Amino acid sequence: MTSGFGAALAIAKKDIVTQFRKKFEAFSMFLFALIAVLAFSFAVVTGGVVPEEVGSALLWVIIFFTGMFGFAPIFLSESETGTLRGLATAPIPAWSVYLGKVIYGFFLMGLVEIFLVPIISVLFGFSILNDLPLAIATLLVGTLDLAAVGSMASALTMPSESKATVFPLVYFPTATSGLMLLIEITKIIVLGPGLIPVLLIFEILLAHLIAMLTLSASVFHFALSP
Amino acid sequence: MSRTRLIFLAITAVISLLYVYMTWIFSPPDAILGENVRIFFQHVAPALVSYGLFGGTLLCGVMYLWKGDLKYDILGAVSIKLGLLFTTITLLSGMMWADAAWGTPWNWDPRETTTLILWVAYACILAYRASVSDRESRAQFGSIFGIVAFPMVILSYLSIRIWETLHPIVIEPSGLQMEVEHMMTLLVAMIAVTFIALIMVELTYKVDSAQEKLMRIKMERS
Amino acid sequence: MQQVELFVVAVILWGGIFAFLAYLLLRMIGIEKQLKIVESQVEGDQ
Repeated sequence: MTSGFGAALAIAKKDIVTQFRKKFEAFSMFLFALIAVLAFSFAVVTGGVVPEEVGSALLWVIIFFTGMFGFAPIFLSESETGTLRGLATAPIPAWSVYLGKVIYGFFLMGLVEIFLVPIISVLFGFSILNDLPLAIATLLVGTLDLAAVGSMASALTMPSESKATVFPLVYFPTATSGLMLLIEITKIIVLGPGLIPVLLIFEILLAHLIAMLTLSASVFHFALSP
Repeated sequence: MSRTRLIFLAITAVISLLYVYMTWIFSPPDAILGENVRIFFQHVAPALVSYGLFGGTLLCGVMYLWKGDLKYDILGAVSIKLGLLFTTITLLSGMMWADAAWGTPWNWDPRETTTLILWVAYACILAYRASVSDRESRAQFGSIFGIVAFPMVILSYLSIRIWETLHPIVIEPSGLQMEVEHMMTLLVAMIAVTFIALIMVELTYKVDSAQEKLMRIKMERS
Repeated sequence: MQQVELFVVAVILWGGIFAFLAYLLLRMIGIEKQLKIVESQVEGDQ
């Protein structure tokens, strides 16, 4: 079990180090997010202001789309460089390959969010400081959730004829459930409590994370075999 | 046609006729909803049946990964297609209900929205399957996709609990909130639509299997 | 107005079911025709 986790961390570390050398992907993701911010601004700005409930919801929508853009290469790069076979035949359990990629995806998206979240909250005029601990917890859980889904989606594009085109199709059904919960929690943080207690929704989000991680890790063996 | 199939068909026909009778004649108008309650019986059953079918997709996915028999995958694809059909029926009848009850067919209500998401999600699975040309890979990865897509079904069902909604909530901790005649009609509705769906699943499975056999023969010859 | 919706819902449900069954029937007819052609071709090979 520990060797499984060790292998996962090794895989994550390798990808993170490559990322630091190239810096290309994280920066592209960040730019993509800003493009999304601008595109949305044309639609939602009225009188120089974005309504708080809209702005806070858009935060996760933009992260969601940035993930659609940024998670696709997680396995695609391995396929292109021919290292996918190496991962598949290595003497490590399939789930640790998956976990390693999830950690990498989490790191990648997290890096982008560190800059993106403050920028968006300023540009769209809302504050998550109302409940900072919950906001940070939500960011962590939410990013991990999207990374879990994104990594699996990336792996599923492997047998397809048109890998890049098909990634959004696989990402959407799996990521949207998390997205809806994340938007709801963020709205409550920014606007104040509604009828449903926010901690209940956060629990459901946590359950969602655990479910997606467990489901994906359990079947990942089948995603790696040729 | 075998005897059991004939009996099953006959039972389905009878229950379906009973269903129609109960929906339109037997059920009294509801105290609050009036005649609109008749929409209710034709909307709830397809909704629940579609959830069941998508659950079937999950099951077939697991079975294929476990046993490797392509028959499970053919069945899984069938359950996606029929799930989409019944989701379509659910969405359209729901829009008629919304129009009759609140004046507008679409309100971006959480139940409506998650059902639409469900439609798109499973349509994505079909599109994805079409993009994988190798039969075994399509089955293998399609099964995985069908499995990891299922949490969306659960969320759709729970959506009325989590978000504020216009959608009527009928199942409370105290029990079902409706009159006896309506409860009976709903029960018959569920049975009828389930039986109809099962027949459709079987027929579609046969057609899809025949088509695959045809393609295989054609490929072997060329 | 109300009557229209009630009618349309019935059409949606039963129309949907029977339309799909009709579609299945058409497909089956097409497949059986093609199967006959292919099977006679296979016999021709032999």
